[in-house]
Amino acid sequence: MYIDFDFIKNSLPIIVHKIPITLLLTVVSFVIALVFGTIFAYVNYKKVKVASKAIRVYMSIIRGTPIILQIYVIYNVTPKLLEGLFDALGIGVNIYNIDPIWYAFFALSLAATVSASEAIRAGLLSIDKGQFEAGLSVGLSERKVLFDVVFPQAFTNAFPVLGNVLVDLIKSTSLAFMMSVVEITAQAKILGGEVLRYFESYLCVFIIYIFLIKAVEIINSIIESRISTYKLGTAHR
Amino acid sequence: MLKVENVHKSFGKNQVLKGVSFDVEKGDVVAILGSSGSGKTTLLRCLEFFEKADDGRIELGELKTDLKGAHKSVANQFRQHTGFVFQNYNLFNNKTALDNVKLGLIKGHGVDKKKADELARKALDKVGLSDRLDYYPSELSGGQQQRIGIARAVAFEPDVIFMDEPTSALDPELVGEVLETIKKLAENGITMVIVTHEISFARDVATKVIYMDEGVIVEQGTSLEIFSRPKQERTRQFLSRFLADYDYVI
Amino acid sequence: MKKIELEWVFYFIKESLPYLSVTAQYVFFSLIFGTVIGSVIAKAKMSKSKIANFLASFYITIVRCTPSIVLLFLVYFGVPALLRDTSFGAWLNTLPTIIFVIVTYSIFIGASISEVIRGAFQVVSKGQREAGLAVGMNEFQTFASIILPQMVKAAIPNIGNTIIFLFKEGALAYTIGLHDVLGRAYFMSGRTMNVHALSMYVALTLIYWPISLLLEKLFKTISEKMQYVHVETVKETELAKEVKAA
Repeated sequence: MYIDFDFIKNSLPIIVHKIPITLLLTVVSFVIALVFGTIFAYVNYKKVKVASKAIRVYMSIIRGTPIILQIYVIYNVTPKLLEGLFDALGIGVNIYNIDPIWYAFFALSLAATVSASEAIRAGLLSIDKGQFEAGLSVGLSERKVLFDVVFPQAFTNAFPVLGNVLVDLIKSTSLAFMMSVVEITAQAKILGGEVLRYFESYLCVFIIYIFLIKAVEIINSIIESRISTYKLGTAHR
Repeated sequence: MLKVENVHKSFGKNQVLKGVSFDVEKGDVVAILGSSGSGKTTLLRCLEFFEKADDGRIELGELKTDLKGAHKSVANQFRQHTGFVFQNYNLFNNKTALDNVKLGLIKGHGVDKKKADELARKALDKVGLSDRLDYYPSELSGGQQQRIGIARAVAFEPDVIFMDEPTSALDPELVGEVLETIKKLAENGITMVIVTHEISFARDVATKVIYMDEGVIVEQGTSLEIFSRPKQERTRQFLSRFLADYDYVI
Repeated sequence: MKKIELEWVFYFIKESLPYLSVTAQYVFFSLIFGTVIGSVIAKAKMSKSKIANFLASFYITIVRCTPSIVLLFLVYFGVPALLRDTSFGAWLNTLPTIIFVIVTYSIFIGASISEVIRGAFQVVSKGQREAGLAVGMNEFQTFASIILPQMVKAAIPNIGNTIIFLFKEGALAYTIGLHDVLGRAYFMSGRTMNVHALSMYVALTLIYWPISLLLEKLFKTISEKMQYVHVETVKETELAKEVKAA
């Protein structure tokens, strides 16, 4: 039994090289999750009749099934659907030329959308009705009240939970290898497989994740303390 | 200038307003008195379109509408001309004192930023809070918050300001500063409709007093008429609860 | 890939549902061992020893920052690969896959359970222990009959979440070849060249989704039932009716 430090020395840079892919997966999926999460949260908050029911069913299915199942469904079913769609529309795009990372964005944002939506809805529910009325009373339209008064506060309240959603998302990107996207975990799997030094290669990924996530958490807490000064009443202390 | 006619409102089976009508002239300070549950807060909230009245009309200057089924845009038009002061202040938690006042001016009334800044500072100066411009609501006392709430309502120079029990959420020692602020507005000829429990304040400041009970106006008249010569037995009974205090003052 | 066919959906449900017992095994054992690890970590975190404190925090941070699949690979591929020329390593290779799954998830949820335990402990006020001692019970009796029940009550929703998490996240064990519900369905799908993959996905959704909902509902009901409020039993109310009628 020995740890092959030479292997680590040679592999780590190669794996580190894939960090941008991991970050790309994270950021794009997170943005998608934020956009749809906000829309879904608002629809649910407003209790729009059919739409909010449909969204709740969607959220329930996603929450109730393993992410690995979601990934396989997206990865295997979407190409067929697209193929049919493109055929019907007469678009001459070969779907097998589509970079699999697009499926990864889609698959990873499914679950993140649900958590983001719940966080934002809780944020919205925490805003007192009086804030709405105060906005209306000074002559703002409903849309302006929403964007200038309600959403900023809802997002501030939701921020810590959204931070967790982001962290979970970073961790989920490790599943992208199932969609043949080569990010850090996939790279480690490949390198470790060549010479059967799995322990060392996974140790590298393990360490990279710890650094990545710790960094994100630190950034989150800095931003959080910045944006929530208004709540804490500490600006003038 | 403000004409309110026949306002009806029920919550489920509970009839809260059973046909309320009154007029307000420019420069009037109208105090609406009544025990809890008499419908006075609901009345004010109907006039600001926070509650949808079941029936009734409102006229304000050139504007007029049925309260029932009034469209959002109509509500917004009216709100452009009315200010509202809330019982629990409802300052925008995420905005500083100055921005609380500026937001409505800029986004609600299309005042340009420089002018809005100027007007907001002036309004905050009037309520004596020039030294708290960049404070957030969470850093201020209830009395200070309410004075900012008043500044926010005054800043865009509305035709009338509705005040919904502006002092009832305050600690007793903070009530004075807010009443003082309102009194100053009255002296400057600003038109106000104030729902209040502060009887002696109403007597001192109001030009007109409305006494409500169980969803109807029992009696209305000048301050002198209501306080010195109430016609209705119910009004007399209501005031008599404060009369001991009142007699003593005289 | 063929369209969704009802008979194939039933086929996959019939084939994989019995493997729910495998899923249940790793959920159950991971929860047990995870609770053991979690208790130790919680104890360490609440102890006055700086070293114990640091180690506990270190453990929690590390685990929280690791994707469960990386931990799974490290445990299943990494450790045996590292120890391959030792007899312990050889022995590891003879173990069934599910052991690695249970080890991984016990380590994994140990961290979150330690936080749950700490949270639950803080819910129960110091006065409860003191009151227990004051009426003449010893430390153990006080813990067992006063503090523990209140802690369990406070922890129920989180335990429910942990079980649901294990139930779903455990499906990742398919990637190391475990035949649980999902693994079995994939295996059977592979035998038909994945022609009926769509039906398999539907079958799996029809297994996982309702069970997750059921678990969610179950723990919600349990935690509602466990409120310390006076509950009128059916008998009493019926009796009351009779009294009224009379």
